[in-house]
Amino acid sequence: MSKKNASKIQWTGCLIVVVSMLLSHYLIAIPETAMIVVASVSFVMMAAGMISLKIIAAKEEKAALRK
Amino acid sequence: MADNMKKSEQTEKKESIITLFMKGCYDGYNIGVKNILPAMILGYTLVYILQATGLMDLLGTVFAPVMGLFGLPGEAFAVLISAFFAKAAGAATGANMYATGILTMSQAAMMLPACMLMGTLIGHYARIVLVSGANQKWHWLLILTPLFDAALSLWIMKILFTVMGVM
Repeated sequence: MSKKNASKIQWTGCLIVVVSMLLSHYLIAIPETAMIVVASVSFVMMAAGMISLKIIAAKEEKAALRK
Repeated sequence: MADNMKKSEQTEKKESIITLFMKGCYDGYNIGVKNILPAMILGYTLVYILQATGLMDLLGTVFAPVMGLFGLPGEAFAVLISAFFAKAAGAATGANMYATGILTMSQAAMMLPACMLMGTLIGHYARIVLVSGANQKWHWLLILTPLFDAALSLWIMKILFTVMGVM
């Protein structure tokens, strides 16, 4: 996975959870079960993106050290 | 050689205070937006999921004996879980739990050093342990050390707060 894709996944997760929470708070009543599913999916996306970014950074540092 | 030194001195002098200040602002913005903001959202999301699914109560019951050693409720374990992903996520979870009344102010404050010590465990494992090429035999010890430090910091904070009369 590239740095750009990992970042995209992370930010998509952030956007999904923030937008859905704002929607449920101000506009429409989203059922709690749906909110839990949305929050869980976005949590996984955020965690995956965050960990991928760290691993990519580690690989870059390792490559820089070898040079 | 002397010319090179003069040139490097000149380039060093060229950077004015305003340029340095702007550079610092840019770095601060980058850290805030790219690192801290997603981590904070992650922390808040984790607390929401735990509360909405009822897992928070389960955490409270299961980890009550362990966290009770440090004078904390079992629910405080969620702070350590989110700190596992990022330090800011741990801090955000602690703040959210204080806001919802699960933790008191002193309990949330005493968890902060633990978040800093064991925070971003996976990231640091990848960026330091794997990059340094440490002997694979000792990797488990290198992971356990921050966890031990975090537990120690909780003890120290508990003693400190008890002496101060906060807890």
